[in-house]
This record gives sequence, structure tokens and C-alpha cells, in this order.
Amino acid sequence: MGAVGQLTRARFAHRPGRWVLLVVGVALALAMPVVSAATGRIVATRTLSDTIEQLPVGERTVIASYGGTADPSAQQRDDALVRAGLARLTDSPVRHEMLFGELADGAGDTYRLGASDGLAQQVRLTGGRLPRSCVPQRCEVLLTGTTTSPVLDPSLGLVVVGTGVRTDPLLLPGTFDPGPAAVVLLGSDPDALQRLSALEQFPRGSGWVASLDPRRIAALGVPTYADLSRQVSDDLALRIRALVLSVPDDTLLRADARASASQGRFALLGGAAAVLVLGFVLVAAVGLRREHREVAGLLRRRGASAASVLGFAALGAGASVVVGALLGTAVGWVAGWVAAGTQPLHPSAVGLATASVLDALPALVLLTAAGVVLTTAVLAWPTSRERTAWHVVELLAVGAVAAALLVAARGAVGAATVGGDPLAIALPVLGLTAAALVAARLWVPLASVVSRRLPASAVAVRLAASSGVRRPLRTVVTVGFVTAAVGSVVFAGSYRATLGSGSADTAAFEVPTAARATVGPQGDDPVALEALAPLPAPAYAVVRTVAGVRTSATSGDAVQVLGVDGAVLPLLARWDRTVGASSPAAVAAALAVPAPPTGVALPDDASTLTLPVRSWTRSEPGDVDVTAWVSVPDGRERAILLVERRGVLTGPLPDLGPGRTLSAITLRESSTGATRRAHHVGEGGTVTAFLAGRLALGPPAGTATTWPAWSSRTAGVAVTGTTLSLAYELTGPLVVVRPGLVGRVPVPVMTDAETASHGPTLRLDLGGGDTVAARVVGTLPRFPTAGPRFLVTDRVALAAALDDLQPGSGAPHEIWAGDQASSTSLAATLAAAPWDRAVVVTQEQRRSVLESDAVGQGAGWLLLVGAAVSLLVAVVSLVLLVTGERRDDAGQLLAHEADGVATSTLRRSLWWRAVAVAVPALVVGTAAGLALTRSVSTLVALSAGGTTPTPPLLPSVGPAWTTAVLVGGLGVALAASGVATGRMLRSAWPSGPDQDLR
Amino acid sequence: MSTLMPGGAPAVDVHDLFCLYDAPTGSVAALRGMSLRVRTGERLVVHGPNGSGKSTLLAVLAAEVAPSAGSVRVAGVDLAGADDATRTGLRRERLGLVDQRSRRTLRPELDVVDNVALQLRVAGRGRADARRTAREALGRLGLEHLAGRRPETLSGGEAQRVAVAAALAHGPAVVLADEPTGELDARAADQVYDVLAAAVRDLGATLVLVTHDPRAARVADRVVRIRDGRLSEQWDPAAPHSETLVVDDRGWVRLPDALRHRAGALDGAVAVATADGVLLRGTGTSADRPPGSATSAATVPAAAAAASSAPAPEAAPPPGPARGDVVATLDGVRVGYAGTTVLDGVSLDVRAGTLTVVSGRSGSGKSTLLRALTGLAPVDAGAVTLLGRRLADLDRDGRAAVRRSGVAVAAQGGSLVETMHVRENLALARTARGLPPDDVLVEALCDGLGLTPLGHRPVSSLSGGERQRVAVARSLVVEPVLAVLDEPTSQLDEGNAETVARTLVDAARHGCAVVVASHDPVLLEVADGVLDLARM
Repeated sequence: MGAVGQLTRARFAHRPGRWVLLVVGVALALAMPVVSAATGRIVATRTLSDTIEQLPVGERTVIASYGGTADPSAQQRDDALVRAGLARLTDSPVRHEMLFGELADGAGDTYRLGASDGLAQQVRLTGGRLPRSCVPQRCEVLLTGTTTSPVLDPSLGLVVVGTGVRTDPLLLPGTFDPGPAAVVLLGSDPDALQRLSALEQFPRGSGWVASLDPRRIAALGVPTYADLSRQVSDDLALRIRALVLSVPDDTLLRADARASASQGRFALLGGAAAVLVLGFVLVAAVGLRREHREVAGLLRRRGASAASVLGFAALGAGASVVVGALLGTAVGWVAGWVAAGTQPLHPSAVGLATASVLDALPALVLLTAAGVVLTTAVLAWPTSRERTAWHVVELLAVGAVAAALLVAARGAVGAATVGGDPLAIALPVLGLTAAALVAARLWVPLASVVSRRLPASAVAVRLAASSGVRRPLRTVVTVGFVTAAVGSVVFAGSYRATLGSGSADTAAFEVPTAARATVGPQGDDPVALEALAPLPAPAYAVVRTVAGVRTSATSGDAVQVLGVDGAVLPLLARWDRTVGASSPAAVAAALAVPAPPTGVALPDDASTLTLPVRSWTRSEPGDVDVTAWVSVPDGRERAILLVERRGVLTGPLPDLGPGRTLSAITLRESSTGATRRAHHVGEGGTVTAFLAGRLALGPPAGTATTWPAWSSRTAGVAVTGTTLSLAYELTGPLVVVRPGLVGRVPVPVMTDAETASHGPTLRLDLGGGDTVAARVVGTLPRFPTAGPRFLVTDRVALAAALDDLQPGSGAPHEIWAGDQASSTSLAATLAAAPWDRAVVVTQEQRRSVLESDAVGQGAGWLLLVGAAVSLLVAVVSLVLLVTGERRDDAGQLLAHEADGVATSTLRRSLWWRAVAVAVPALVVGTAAGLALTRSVSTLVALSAGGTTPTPPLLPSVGPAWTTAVLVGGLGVALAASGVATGRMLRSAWPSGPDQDLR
Repeated sequence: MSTLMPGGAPAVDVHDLFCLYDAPTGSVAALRGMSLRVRTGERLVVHGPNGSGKSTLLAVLAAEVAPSAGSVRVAGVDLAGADDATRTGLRRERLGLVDQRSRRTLRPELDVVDNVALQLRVAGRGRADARRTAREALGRLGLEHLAGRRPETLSGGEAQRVAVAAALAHGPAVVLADEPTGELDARAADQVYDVLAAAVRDLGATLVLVTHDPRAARVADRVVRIRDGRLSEQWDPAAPHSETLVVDDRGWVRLPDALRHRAGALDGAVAVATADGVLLRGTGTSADRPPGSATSAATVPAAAAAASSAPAPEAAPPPGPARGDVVATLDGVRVGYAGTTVLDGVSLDVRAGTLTVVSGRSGSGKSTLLRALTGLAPVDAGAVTLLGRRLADLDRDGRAAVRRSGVAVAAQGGSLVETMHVRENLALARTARGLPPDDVLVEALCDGLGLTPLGHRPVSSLSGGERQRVAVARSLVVEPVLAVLDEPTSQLDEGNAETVARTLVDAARHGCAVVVASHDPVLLEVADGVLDLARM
């Protein structure tokens, strides 16, 4: 190998330019797997960080707690054990805390009593001093939550020595949390406070609290951390009876699973990097092949063995690939180091960068080895078998296309499996490879046709075309590579746009209009809030419930049932994506029903509902409660328990605003009746008659209604003049009397295809034997805010159907409000009182959250980097093409110059060779990139945030990006080629080739 | 039957050798049952017309091409069925190969010493040891002054002598040389022959030297001629009139063309044994073929030359200078290179309608003169005028524009596109000048230069001589005012050299000014004027 090594070194030193380009190209491409791995790690830790930040403060804790009184003799041992255990999970300080159950003071108010051994660091004194002593008979405490001391029973032995404000969220968090408004007396020694004599038998909770340690979690990795926390929990539970360890493992694991799922996508990009590397190596190797062939021929003539000649090939370009790989690894390491430096969870940027390199090491080794093998094969491939190489290309093209089709035929891969699915990961590789091979194979015939049609005056173009056609290997390989690179760029751009669009789709799916409001944590109903403080935008109530749809005699499926106003449908954002079929107008028309009979309009100024009781025949007075239901047009309903008093049933009318109607009357067994019945059974009664009677009611005070269309399914209803007569028997829990109840037609619904497959009419099981009849009028792929199984119908019709079964159950508790034009003012209103009491999400907020998701941003960043690297390597390959052509065609160029062709023409002819590569590669590559985006979007069901996308991802071209690639990429590539060719043939006198390459 | 010199085992023993090449039109038989023995230490010169199989024979002996049939034994190694290790071992240890193009042999990445030492390094010698041996080899050949040079700084003769040193440094048993002087003048060629002969003699090696150059005979023990893939004649250069026909062991004998022409166009003969040997008596002439129409090698070029004059300019005289007008001038030109004056005070008027030959020894500046004349190399002093323009006033593109207006250049290094067919090369030459296609002219030139059968073969499959004829056609297909050709017949046999000479003369008669750098007597004989640089 001495001669081979010497010759190799001499070649590197003689003309280093091409080798340097090869090294740079490989380095750029091989930096990608490291960058990808680093991005994956950073994304995982950022996801972890974000997840922890999004947890309520009190849940960002590790808490070891147990109820009851601790064994005093074991307190020290327990404390040591727990602190040692928690130290395995967090570096944060561990506080020992305890809290007694709620105590009542002498004034009837309540307060809490607790303690923490880190009190001095956890409160801010506002008066007095911190507690110092605590013995069973007397314990000093600090008053928090108020400045007025509760009236303490002196026998407790509590002495308030100061007042303060709790400043540390870790003071009594989680299971100890006394509530934000609680008055809490705090001691400084939990163990001593537990020994307080007066409260010896009083219930309490005690334990140890530490904050979550994101750095520790990040360093260990969430799965390892979760395993460790389980081990610690088991260890402590074995040694300390009833001790419970609380760590938000499930939340962390969910976040980690999401980040892990996104790793599959990063692997997709790694696959594209593999194509880049191998393609670029192929380009470079082909460029070196002609010269190598000459040197190898010389070595063979000098008697070098086949192994030596092969070694020469491997050593030459192989060494460049290895150096490029090392350089790429270093570049990737530096990129990881720089990126990690901005991440707070990484104590060591060096550690993350190094770990990323280790993550990518298998891929790096594999790609480097593949590059060396490929380079060697290309260089050593016998000239006599070049035709075979073409057949190999054809076979590979067919194989790659077939494999891509096979992958496509397998169907979508979900978020849970994408990371481990090699075929899904292989799809971009296969797609880009197929496109590259097809472009390479078709280039020569196309170029031949084009070159024959060129005018004779276009000397530079004709020379370029003839050059490419007569010696096509380097050109077609470059065409293939640039096609793959362009495809990669377009794929990166359009897939990024697809993910971005997917985030917008998801936001629109979750919040169909500008904002969506639901019931707040304190029960504030957005429909009521809308009546109280109308929104500055159209707002529509939505009825939502869950029903069962019977699929067989013994089973059924749960479906979400939504009642919406037809008028809200045009406001739904991104209808084509979130619904995916039909149109708002068509759906509204299909769901439209005649307005159901309304109830009895009540006077706007009435504050009491009074119904004259014309007669009421019954077995026992007071056994039946009569409830009136008052509703307003926005769907709100209120129940009014009517009290019988002096021949009338009366109750207070709620202030629901104008348009109140009496929409239903229900009868049910009263608590008195139930008690009576219980006594009867308890006294041995075996026969209990159903409660029955006849009730005749006059019109509500202030009205003269004739009770039009009032009816009931379980009671006899007769109207005589203004008298509504009910003949009832309470065989069920409730008797409902409503206008239009009998003869109600099935509600028209649009539903998903699977639900629709159960027949044109459906019975929706609402539980307790209640059913609603529905008539399927159409199917939709999906509907915003609903799961995969859903029914959509008109809100009023649905409410009426529900109210027929249980008045009030058709009331809406959700509002979809606003359109794009009103989103800003709407958001401001929703952020202020009283809307801040509801759960409000705006579409913009949701989209912003999705777009700022670490996983999504990581994917976007990586796609950008991948695109940039692809573009750079493509540019380098074009420069390699023209420099290689210049060198190999030196004799021919000299001959042309001797023929009188101007050097400017020759330079242009070299530049046109780059054009002849770039233009078809851009066309085919763009088409391939878009097709690939479509395939990947369809087949890899993974949103930007690493979850299963709802609605499904729909490919988005990203016109700005694609145009930038087509124009900018072409410009950059041709400008670089122009610069390279522009520097050629500039000497005052021509020179011949330094080698005879015949 | 070849001769086995008494007293020695054959270093080369070829028997009934066939060698077939795949070509687009089918298999081509380069060797057709050749038999040849060369004894150890013998120096054999092989002549033969272009395409006769000389280079193929050498490639088979070098174990680079596998024989299709027959047996080949070189330096004791049986090459028929030999595995790769055997073949490479033979080349590494026992063969020394001298290529016709030294620039293909010498690597620009290495200096002269490392180039000479390369085969020793391949054989496993350490670098220092190999360099020392290489220096000794250079010293033995009187080339030690070139040791520190790079190949690209050597003249053609120097490079070829270094190539000889590189082929012999490891002490081979058999030296195979393929046209080692094809691009050299007589003096440089003689130096190469002397170096080869001396080195072979010192080593006790066997030399097989393939060349067109009859002067090579002076270092030969025996000369053989190959025709149509078989040995046809052989002679002892030391014995005048010793040429004999070769009758191989299967009885094949090839009658010389001159003898057949004298006897008429025989289509049959009766062999009669006589006391002196064998008498061939013709059975009559062909009724279908008039005398002189036989497709002998001698008659083909004449027919082609006639065809080449078919588009006679008399019918439509090309625009340009009138016959006798000066189209290019060198006036007191001086050119130096690397501190050495190559041309000094050279003056020359090139006139339309004339064939001018520039002759002189290798390194005398023939190629430099042509480059200076065509604006492809700078001059240090004096003036060059080309088609009425002073080249000193023009930049690189300006000079190109002048050439484009009517100058064709066929450089010695070749200007052909290897992967293109012959006709495509000719079409490309017109494309490069923006000229429209002219199939009639292409056809005429192919006919005239005997290229018609090769028209659709890629240049890479052509022999060196065939390439030269294509290069001549390429220079004329652009209908130049001035055609400048560097050594256009260096690899041609005499017949083809005459064909090229006739073609150039025809071009001159049609008004073209033709300038040729050559030392070929065939061209010197037909030249209208000769500029002998050796006398300047």
C-alpha cells in the first residue's frame, strides 16, 4: 500500500480543490444527523420544561405524605428515610410540612393549622415575629391569610406571635393545600405541632415537600426518572406505613411520549440526510472517476494487484468521506453546543452536544461506511460495465418507485408508531431516490431532443448540450442528486407549511370560531355571561351531549351530539379542512327544521310565576313536586320549584332577561312523598301505589294562554279554555308536559360515515331508557370540537328533543363566538370580567400555543436546517460539476478555443451545463417534493406537536417557500456556478490539460 | 513461421492467437491466428499499417487484454487462462511497458524520481530505496539532471526518455514499447531508441518495439511486419534484402500487394512444389473486377483522395484570400520557455494555396511556432499577423475571433471528443464555429481519408493512426482559410500518411493555406515550402 498511499497523498496535495469540496459537501450533509439528534434532545427537554411550567405551581412538586399521626419514635428515622429518598429525585430543598383538618373558631369561622420546617424562607412577615417554640401545651404560630386573628380556644395552646403572607408556592401545596382564601396558622416545627395535646386525635396530614427538579429529570430522561420515582415510592412505602409519594409522572410521561413520537419525524429528516450524503458522494465520485481511471490504469500497468487498485480507490475518495464525516460530526457538535447553550435545562452544553453525537453515531458510521463503499464502487466500476450501471440505475428506479408505492399502500402510520416504523422513515428516502433516479435516467434522451432543436447560432448552449449528451455520467448523476436535493428542500418547505397549516387546522378544529367559551371552574355558564355582558361579535350557543348509538342488540357506540345554529356554520374557520366536505349553507339547509312550538310567553316585568290550581285530585298533598321550566331564546332554562299556596302554584321568576317563556311543567315525587313511601315500606307495606292524580292549572298570571300544543308522553293532557288538565301517574321518575312533545319528528342529523352506516334513522340512547330519534340526512368527514364519532343537528331541535326527556337538559353551556374580523376586540372582551370566569379559548391563542410548542418548533427548525443544507450541498455539487467539466474537458475546450470559440462562449458553455442540470432538477425535484409532502402528510399521522393530528394533515404547498426555492435556489445555484465558471479561462494565454486523458 | 533464434528459450511465445473486440457493428478481429516467438535477449521491432493489430498484440503480451483463442507465453508465464494475480505479478516483476504517450505514463502529482520509482513502490520497495534505485536508473540513462523536475516541465523527448526509465527501473525481463517515438523528431527518437537498446542490453532483457518508424530497425535484431492480424514478413535489419514472407504453421502466407498487383487481380492460385520451394501460379483474373480495383491497402487511399476532391472548389470558389496571398506572418519571432529560447528570429509568410511544412528536431520549437502562429502562445519578440490582424493587439478572445474567422488547428495532443462518433466530432467542429451542418462535406472528407467505415464508431475505439486521420478531417471540415496541423502523420503507416498528404495537398490546391509541423518525409516531399527550424 506504500505506492498507493504515496500517490493518494500526492493527489490530495496536487489539486486539493475538488477534495476540499467533497469534504465540505459530506461534512454539511453528515452534520444533519447530529443536528437532528441535538434537536431531538433539545425538543425533549424543552417539552419537559414547558410541561412543568404549565403545571399548576402546587403540582410542580414531589410530595411524600401520609395521613394520621406519625409514630413519634420513628419521626427522626422517617425524616431521614424520606429525605434520602427524595434526594434521589430532586436537588431542591426538602420541607417537612403538616396540616390539621379544618378547625372552627369561637366566632363560627374556620381556619387551618399547619407547620413547615422552612417557614422562615416561605413567608414574608407583615407583623410580629416568626414562631420559635412549640410544645404540646403551647405552640407559637404565625397568622396568614388574614390580619384578624381567629377567636382561638385557649385550650388549644396556640399563641399567635406574628402575621405574614405566604410567599412560597411549596408551602402547603398539593395534598396539603388549604385553599387560596384560607386562614392558616403556621408553626415552624411540624413534629412538635403534631404533638399538640389538644389536637392529639384530630385528623391531619403530614409529609415532605420538594419542588420538581427539571434538570434532574432532563439529565435522567423522563422514563428513567419515572422508574426511579416508582422505586423511591416502593422503597418508602415498604419502610414507612401508608406513605404515599406523589410525582406528576403521568404528565411528564405523556409529554415525553409526545416528544418521542416527534423523533420519528426527525428520523425522516435523517433519512433525507442519508440521501443527501450518498447522492453527493456519488456526484463527487463520478467527478473523480475519469482521472482515477487513468491513475488506476497506470497502477495496473505497473503491476499493482486488483486489491491495491481497489485500495487506491477506497483510500482516495474514502479518506475524503471519512474526513468529511469527522468534520460534519464536529460541525454538528458545535451546532448542538450552540443550541444547547440557550436551553436552561442543560447544565452542560458540551454534554448535550456530545450525547447528540453519540445518538447519531450509528447513523454516522453507517452513512460514512456507505459513502466509502459507494465512492469506491463508483471509482472502481469497470468502464466496460458502464452500460450495466445504467441497467442498475433503471432497476433501482423501478425498485424505488415500487417500494415507495408499497409504503404508500400500507396506509397511515400513527403517532405512536412512526418513530419505530422503518418504512415510514424510509418513505422520504425512497421518494427522493426514485425521483433522482428517474430524472437521471430521463435526462439524456430529453437533452438529446432539446439539443437537436437548438439554433446553430446558440454555440455555447449547443456545446453544453453536446458535452452533456456525449459524456453523460457526471451530468446525469448531478441531475439526480440536485433533483433529490431540490426535492428535499421543497419537501422540507412544504412539509413545514403543512405542519403549520395543520396547527392552524387543529386550532380551528378545537376553536371553530374566533373564540369558544365553556363553563368556568366556578360553574359560570358562558351563555349566562353573554346575557350579562354581550360580546362585541356574533355569538352562538351550542348544545353538547353524549349519546349511545346501538350497533347491535347488546352493544352500542358512544357518539358526541352537537346542536348548533345554522347561522354559526358560515363562521367556522377553515371549513374545507375542519369539516372537509359539503358547505356551511348545505349543512345548514339539511339540518333546518320548522321552529318547534314555543311555551307560554311570560310578562317581562313579572318576578313571580303564578299558576292557578283549578283543581288537584291526589291521594296525599305534598307527595308531588311541580316544577315549572322557564326558558329564553338563547336556550337558557331555569327550573322553578312551585309551591302550592292558597290555590296557586307559585315560585320566583329568575331574571333571564326579556323573552321568558314557560316551556315545560314537570311532576316528580317530592321528598315528602319519598319519605312517606319509605316509612310505608319500613312498616311492612308490600304494595305501594304509584303516585297519581289530576291537576288542572290555569294560565300563568299575566297571560291568557290556551296552552297550545301542550302534551305529555306519560300523562293525560287536556286543555279546556285556559285550563290545562293533567291526569298523571308517576310510574317513572318524572312526568313532563311541554308544548309539541307528542308527535315530535326525529331530528335531522349529519353524522360520520360509520355512525351513518347503522341506518337512516338512529335512536340516541341518553341513559335511563331515554332515547331521541334521529334521522340521518348526510355524512361529514368530521366536525369541529367533536371526536371521530359525532352527530350534528340543529340546536333548537336538539334542545327540544332533550328537553322532552328532561327539561333543562337541552340548555346550552357553550358559546362559539366571533369571526376573524372581530377577533381582536373579542379577545379583549373575553379577557375581562365577567368573561374571565368562564373557560375561554380563542382560536388565535390556541394556534399560538400550538405554534410555540417545542416539538413543533423543533420540527420546523430542523426542516429549515435540512432545507438549507440541501440547498448548500446542491450548490456545491453544481460547482463540482462545472469544475470537473472544466478539468476533464480541458483538451476539448482548448480545441474549441483553437477553433476560434471565444473564452466567454466557453465559459458560458460551462455555465449552461449547470443550467442544463439545474432546470430539469428543479422541475422534477419540486414535483417530487410536493408529491412526497402529500404522501408523508397522508401516511405519517403526526402533527407538528407530535400528536395525532385532528383534523388530518392536509398537504400545503407553501407557495412563498416553493417560489423562494424555485427562484432563489435557482439563482443561488446558477450564481455560484457563474462565479465558478466566470473565473475559468481568464489567463492571457490558453493552456492545455496537464494530463493526457485519452 | 516465426523464427526461433537458436540457443535461447523464447521470452515471448505466441501461437495461433486470436483476439476479438466488441464493436457496435459486431466483433472485430484484431489478431487472426498470429504466431510469434521472441527469444530471450532479442530486440524485435514490429511494423504494420494502422489497424493491423500491433497495439493489440502488445496489449495481449502485457496481459492487459485476454486472448480470445490461442496460446501466449511471456517471460515464462502462460497467459491463456492466467488469473489476475499471475497477470499483475507478470507486469509488476517481469515486464516493462513504454507507452506511446508519455503524459499518460507520468503522473503530474509526482516528480520525475517518484514517477520512475512508482513501479518499485508498487512491488513493495520502501520509498527511500525505490527513489535511490530510480535515481540510479535515471543516471544510467543520462537523465539524472531531470530528477527534480515535474513531468509537465519536460519536453516530449525528455518525458519519453523518463518514461523509458520508469519502465526499466525495476529490471524487467521483457520490455514492451508501443510507438515510443511517435511524437518525437528523428533526433529525439534516436535518443529514445538508444536509451531503450542500452537499457535492454544492460538488463539482458527482451525488447518488443512496435513502431511505424523504420529507423527503429537500427536497434533491432529482427523486424517483423503485421498485416491483417497475422505476421506477414520478417527480416534481419543487419542483412540487406533479407525480407521474407512468413508462412505460419497452418500454412497461411500473405502475398505482398505489389506482387499481387504485378500478377494481376488474382482470385485463385495453384501451389506447385518445386525444387526451390513452392510456386504459386494464378488461375486467372476476375472478370468482374477490372485490374486495379482490388481493395488493397494501396488503392483505398487513392480512391478516398479522389472522393475528397469531389466538392471541387473550382465550381464554387470559397470566399477568402486569393491563391498566393499572405494569410499569416511571423516576423522575427522569439519565444522562450522556462529560461530557454525555443524560437529566435523566426520569420515566415504563410500563403493561401500552399502547403508549408515546419520541420526540425524535437524541442526545436515546431509546436511552439504553430501555437505562436495561431495566437495560442505568446511571443517574446517579433510580430505575428494572422488573417490581417496583429495578434499583439488582441486579447485572448480577440485572437479567438480571428481564428474563428478562418483558422483550423489540429493540435498534437488531440482535439477529438473520445465518446463521440467520428461524424459527430466533425459535426461538433462546425457547431463550435456556429456553422450549419454540411453532410456532403463530412461524407467527402470521410471518404477521402478512409474514415467511412469508422464513421459511426466512437473515437475511443480507434487506433492512434485512425484518430490522426479524424483530426485532419476535423480541421478541414470547417472550411478554413488556414489549417495548422501538428504532426498529423506521426502514428500513420506510409500508406495512410500518403493519404493524409494528398488530402492536405488537395486542400491547398483549393485555396487553403496549410501549415504542418512534421518530420515525415511523406509530407516533406509534397510540401510547397519547408521551414527547417533545425537550421535556424
